Amino acid sequence: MAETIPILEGRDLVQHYKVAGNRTVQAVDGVSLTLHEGETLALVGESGCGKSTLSRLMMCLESPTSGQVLLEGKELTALRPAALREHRQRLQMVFQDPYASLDPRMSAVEIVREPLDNYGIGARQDRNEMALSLIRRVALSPDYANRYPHELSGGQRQRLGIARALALRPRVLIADEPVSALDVSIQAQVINLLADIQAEQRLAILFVSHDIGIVAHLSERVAVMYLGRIVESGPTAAVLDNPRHPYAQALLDAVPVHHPRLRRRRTLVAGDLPSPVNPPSGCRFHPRCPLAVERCRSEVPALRSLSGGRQIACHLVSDSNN
Amino acid sequence: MTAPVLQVENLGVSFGVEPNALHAVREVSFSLSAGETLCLVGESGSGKSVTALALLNLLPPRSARISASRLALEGRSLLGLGERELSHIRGKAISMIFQDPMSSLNPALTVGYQLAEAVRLHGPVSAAAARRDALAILDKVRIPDAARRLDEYPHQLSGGMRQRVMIAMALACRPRVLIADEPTTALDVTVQAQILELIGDLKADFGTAVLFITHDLGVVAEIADRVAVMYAGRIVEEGEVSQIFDDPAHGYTHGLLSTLAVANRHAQRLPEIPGSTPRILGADMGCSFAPRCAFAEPQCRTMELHMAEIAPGHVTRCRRAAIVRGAKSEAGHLAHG
Repeated sequence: MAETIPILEGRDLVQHYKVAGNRTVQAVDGVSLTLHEGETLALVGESGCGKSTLSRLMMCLESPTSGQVLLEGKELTALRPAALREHRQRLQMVFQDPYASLDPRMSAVEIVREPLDNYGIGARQDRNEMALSLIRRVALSPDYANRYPHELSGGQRQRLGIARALALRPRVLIADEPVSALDVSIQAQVINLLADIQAEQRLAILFVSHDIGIVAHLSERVAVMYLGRIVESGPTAAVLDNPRHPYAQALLDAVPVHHPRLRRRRTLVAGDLPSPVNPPSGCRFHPRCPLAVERCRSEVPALRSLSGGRQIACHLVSDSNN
Repeated sequence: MTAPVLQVENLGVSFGVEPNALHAVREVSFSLSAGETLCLVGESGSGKSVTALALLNLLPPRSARISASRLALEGRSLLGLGERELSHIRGKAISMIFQDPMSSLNPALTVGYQLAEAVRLHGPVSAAAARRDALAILDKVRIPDAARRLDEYPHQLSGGMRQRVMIAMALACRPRVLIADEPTTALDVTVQAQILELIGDLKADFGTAVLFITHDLGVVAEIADRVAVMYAGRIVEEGEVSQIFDDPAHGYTHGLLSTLAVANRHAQRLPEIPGSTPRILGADMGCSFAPRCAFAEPQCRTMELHMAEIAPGHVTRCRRAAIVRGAKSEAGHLAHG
């Protein structure tokens, strides 16, 4: 895995937005990540940590302040819009709100057909059939083909969003909280569908989520973000079972138990996420960190590699096998 | 068990006119004791929020029809009370907090003003005393720098802090019953953990009974004493939290527990519940969940069902309870291991 070219790579991405009063929101601040064929990388963190901005950067929906995005080794961030368009079809997105991301004036089959028309895929007269087969693929009945989004349930809408994303046979799917708006009994259906499609098409998935349970189930690797930076990453089971960064520990400790017998008194992290407008100096977690020392206030911890494919950005963690 | 603080028998809520009326809540009965947390669990459209709003008569009177054979607070019937009498009970004896604190706070008034208002509405207190009370309550819900926050507006607070203000306001009059409708759903997990702990501590301090509405089984596992599972407007199973998690006795409860992703992290596929939640039109026979149920047989759709007690305090509206109880739930299994 280490030697192959990643299918999608972000290098030192920075996204700063100017806001009123000549201030800057440091939404993403020096993030690198790689995604390989057939792999699911989960991006977890709380609201305001920059995970959605990062996924939009990886999707080239906005240009970064600095840094690069590479698709199969080709730098997308250097391309003009017309050239970028050619590559975009390999990179598709599924959104959180399946209602807001579907045109209410288009029927299901028109929604799935639109990307085929846009990219001139197949003969014109075959495209309806292609759209219908995609609709069947996401386990929607073809009876729904002529219905409009408002006539569909939340789960059905999200299936439609997935069918549209698959229409151009992408190599990478970026899914930003794709099931968090759905009921629990429906979430499992959509998660299983994504897993099946991934296995079938060797898709790489960047899965943005705050739901640790789903991340644990679906992803091979996980990256934990805090205030615009990755604080810890590595194989999902290793990170979730034994988080090393104090923030990752606090985040995982706060996840509700799944059985009343496992209740415990927690050591809760104090306070709220600080504003990304004026983030803390040094390690951005230091004002809330129970272990912080002077160095954490002044010096930004670099993301260092530990054994076992793990990376961590903390001055206080050394590589050991515990 | 002490005498129940809140008793609800055969609550029904419908919207619209027959034969097209939507029966959002049907035959809902439960009781709540002092210091107890009852979690009302269900998915969107199951009727859990409508149940809560009906208890306080907060549904639009033109469209909602509420019926009940008994609705009593500390033995006193709330049925047939006028709006004036009810408004004395609301906020004082029964308080409510909602999912979105921003839409329940007035953006044009300071936090201190709104808290003091809640204090003064239910007792003759001077403005200065009300402000002192407001400050004390903000401290109680662990808002840092409370004195400064009193003079701030809701938009200046974070989501977690706004929800603390709502809780402070709800507890200002030391209510007997707190109804919390998805109070942590919009919050991040670290903030959710803080709020859940806060509600637990306040319950212990004041002996408040809590009716906690949620769709999140993890939250239920954290805080519930008792659990009532709702589906398509009805309570389908109710019991102690350990009974529900260890010994689910309804096909829907069993299905919900097995979809808990945390419990299935090493499974190849997540167990699914097929189909989607139904719309609840006219009165129906049989079990509303039968079309999606892994344990159903044809009679489930047609035979009339009643709540049956299968263990002390554990009731279910499921013909196949014995079969469901025989099938081990994954969540319970893992917690033992």
